[in-house]
Amino acid sequence: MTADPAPPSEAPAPPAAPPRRGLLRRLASRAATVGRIVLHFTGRGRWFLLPLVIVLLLSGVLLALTSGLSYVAPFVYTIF
Amino acid sequence: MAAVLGVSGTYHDAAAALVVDGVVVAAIQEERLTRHKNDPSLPRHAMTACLAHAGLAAGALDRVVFYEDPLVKLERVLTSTLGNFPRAVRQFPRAMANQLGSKVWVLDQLADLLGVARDRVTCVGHHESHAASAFFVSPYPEAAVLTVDGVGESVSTALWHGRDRTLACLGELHYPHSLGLLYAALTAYLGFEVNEGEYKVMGLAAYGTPRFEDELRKVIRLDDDGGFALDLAYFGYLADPELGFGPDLERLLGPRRTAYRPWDLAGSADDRRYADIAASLQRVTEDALLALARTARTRTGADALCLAGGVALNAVANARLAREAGFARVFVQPAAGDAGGALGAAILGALALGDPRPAPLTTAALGLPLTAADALPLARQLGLTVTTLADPAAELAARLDDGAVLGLCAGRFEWGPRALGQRSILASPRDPEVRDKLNRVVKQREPFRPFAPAVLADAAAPWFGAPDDLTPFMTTVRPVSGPDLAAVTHVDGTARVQTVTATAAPALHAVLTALAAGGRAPVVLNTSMNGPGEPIVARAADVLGFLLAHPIDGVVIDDALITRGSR
Repeated sequence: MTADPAPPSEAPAPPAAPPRRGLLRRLASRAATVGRIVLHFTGRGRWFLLPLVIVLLLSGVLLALTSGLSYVAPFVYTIF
Repeated sequence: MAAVLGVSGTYHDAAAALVVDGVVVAAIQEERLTRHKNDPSLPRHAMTACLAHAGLAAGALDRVVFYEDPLVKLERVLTSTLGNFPRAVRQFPRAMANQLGSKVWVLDQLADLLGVARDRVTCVGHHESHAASAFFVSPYPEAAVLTVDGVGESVSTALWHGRDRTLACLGELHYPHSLGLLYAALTAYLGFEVNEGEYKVMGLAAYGTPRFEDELRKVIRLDDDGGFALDLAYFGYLADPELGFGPDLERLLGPRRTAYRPWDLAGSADDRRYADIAASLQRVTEDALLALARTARTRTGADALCLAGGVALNAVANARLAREAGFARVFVQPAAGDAGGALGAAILGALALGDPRPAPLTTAALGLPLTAADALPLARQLGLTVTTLADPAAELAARLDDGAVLGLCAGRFEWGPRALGQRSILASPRDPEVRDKLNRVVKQREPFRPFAPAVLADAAAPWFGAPDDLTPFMTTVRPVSGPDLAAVTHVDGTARVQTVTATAAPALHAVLTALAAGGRAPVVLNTSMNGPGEPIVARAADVLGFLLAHPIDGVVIDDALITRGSR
């Protein structure tokens, strides 16, 4: 069932590096994500969690800017 | 007509899958390219490789679909952690840091990585991805679909009714009640690594008797309709991500097994007790799945069943479902775990854009190709001996029959955790000493781990019964008939058989055909080409590195036999 449009070769030439999205676009998409988070919690009747989420989001942005965490534990998917 | 990239990742088994015009063009796990087992990172290498294989630029993608909804997951983590306050107070900062520092931005990160517009990046539900990955590449127009794993966003188990291009959810069970987490917690209790040692528990179970079934039925309450509930007093994962089980479980079953202590099933009463616990866990898990499957049969009326989610990699349970659940046919997609979610997400995206449902999956060879020309320059650089074989299949068959242990690398590497003839180690299925040698010095794993046979599909019946929809991808076990397959027969008399067709694995099929032509049984021992803690090899450098590091007799790629020989 597999289509094989490219000729076999172990190391296909990598496509050109994707154009880097500009800083403004990236900031805009993250702002949109914050909006989605707010809508998500208000839309599902979890509005009372919003203040907590917003405070934590600010911490989250800081973590994202400082490269975040790399912690992994066996049952970490219960918190992932 | 559309090009859709499905992506899974950020916990474990990151993967990418590309569907173009309704055809599954490529599906690759990140670990195969990064050489990091169960690589959890966003699969940038796999995404790039899928696109390169198809000759597509990322800008040509109509949609990128992530395999779960990060916001629903955030909500579950937040409510669950707060709900377990104050027990979960220590994990709260970590949980929120992981979610809000990284996970909730995953769709933005994908847009950044690929350089595509953010509005082309979407997500679907975790269990919907699982269900799609199984049903839409199954050979069935209609099927019941069961998805069972640790936890998705908040769902741990779901029942679906698949018809043509649609999947309807008929019911869900939610975290923290989870068969996957039960199995994972007991895996940790038995001293194995979670997300890696579950196969070991399944293999160990055959050595025990299920005398702890009553105890485990206190841990999980099974309902007749397929529902179940864990007694959370026995588990620790609500408050502690380090250990899945709590002190109550040790009071119930005895002290946990020390990790990494060598196993001695013949001499140690403790180890036999642990084997009995593994057998009991396997029995209870099977009973739970069987009740779910029977409910699925009743509620959908379908004759076919598809399974997905990490629990669907339990080949022993799959075999019991195939026998006892009342379905005429059962299918499990080869990458049934979270990696498979990438495939399901891609297919869901393609269907949403109006593309046709993919054709049934007939091969797992969806990775990057490898040819002798790719490997030979490096082999010569490394001083390896290269011999050109006039008839590679016949030569390989003869050498295997003489007791050699040889690698076979052919074409595109496999999708999923099994080597199915594209990056395999082959050996004679007869001699148990070969099995022990492989376990001890090549794979360096526990002595109770079984090896699987690969058999010519047309000739499987005398040893393993007739092929079905499970056997091509090694997702079931069968009783073994005859005494001459000792190296691939587990202690309980079964084997996780792969039936091989020319479509699925042409090179392996040719070897088996050559064995049959020589009057020998068309069966080989087939195990993955990887050392302990490593992903299966993918590219030439991985293959040659494996050959140099492990005592196998050589590797065949196309018509080239590469050996350490006269270095």
